[in-house]
Amino acid sequence: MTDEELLAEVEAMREAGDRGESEALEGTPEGTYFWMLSHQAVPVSVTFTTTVEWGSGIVAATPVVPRQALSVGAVPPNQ
Amino acid sequence: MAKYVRVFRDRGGIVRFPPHRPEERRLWVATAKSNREAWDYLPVMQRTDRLRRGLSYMWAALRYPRCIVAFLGREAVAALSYDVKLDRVEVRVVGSRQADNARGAGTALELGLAEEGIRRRLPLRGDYEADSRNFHLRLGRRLDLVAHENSSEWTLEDCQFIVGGIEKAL
Repeated sequence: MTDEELLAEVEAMREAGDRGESEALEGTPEGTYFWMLSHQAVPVSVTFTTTVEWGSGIVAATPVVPRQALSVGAVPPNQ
Repeated sequence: MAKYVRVFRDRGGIVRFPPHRPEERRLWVATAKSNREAWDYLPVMQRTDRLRRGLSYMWAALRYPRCIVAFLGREAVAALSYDVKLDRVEVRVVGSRQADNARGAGTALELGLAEEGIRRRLPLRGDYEADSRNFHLRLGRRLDLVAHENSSEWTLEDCQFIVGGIEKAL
């Protein structure tokens, strides 16, 4: 495989999809994440209904919003 | 994010920032290319499109001098390339070997990217595709600030918040 062939493959992927950042997703997704709520960063403990694999989108995710987030009137962006 | 970074660091994982020594980076690029070529000969079950994509992107990221690289021992396991523009740090590509023992490497790179934003006093920008929108949300990115471009951004304050929060949690 030449560098040119590999470069062409990468360029085609870049045009067709994101730049691979979703590849950084790993393992079981439960944990604390930072959600931007009305321009305010709020750490939110999130559990998801699906097991997520590398690069597979996280379409069916059900976040559980902790009390401190609710107390500031925040709503997760995907609800 | 903190959990994955911890897993990576606990296994001895480190993240290296540019500038890298050219001869050293050439070696990483050659290894990444050979890993990508080896994909063609993997058993069918292992020859996933996702792995091919990760290996190709890793090669492309390492070719670019401005790249953040995650290592386990002497082995590069993931890489992220970026541009520094006048008003922002912009993600080029991110790729990884997706090795089981390197779990957390991708997240460690994202943390490194936020650190780079802080060092340069610049916000960060990438973009997203529909199927990875939620992933970007989980990274705390602000989406669609630029209309019709699927933009995914961290402000400088976001970078500071994320790095501060994660380092505190580690």
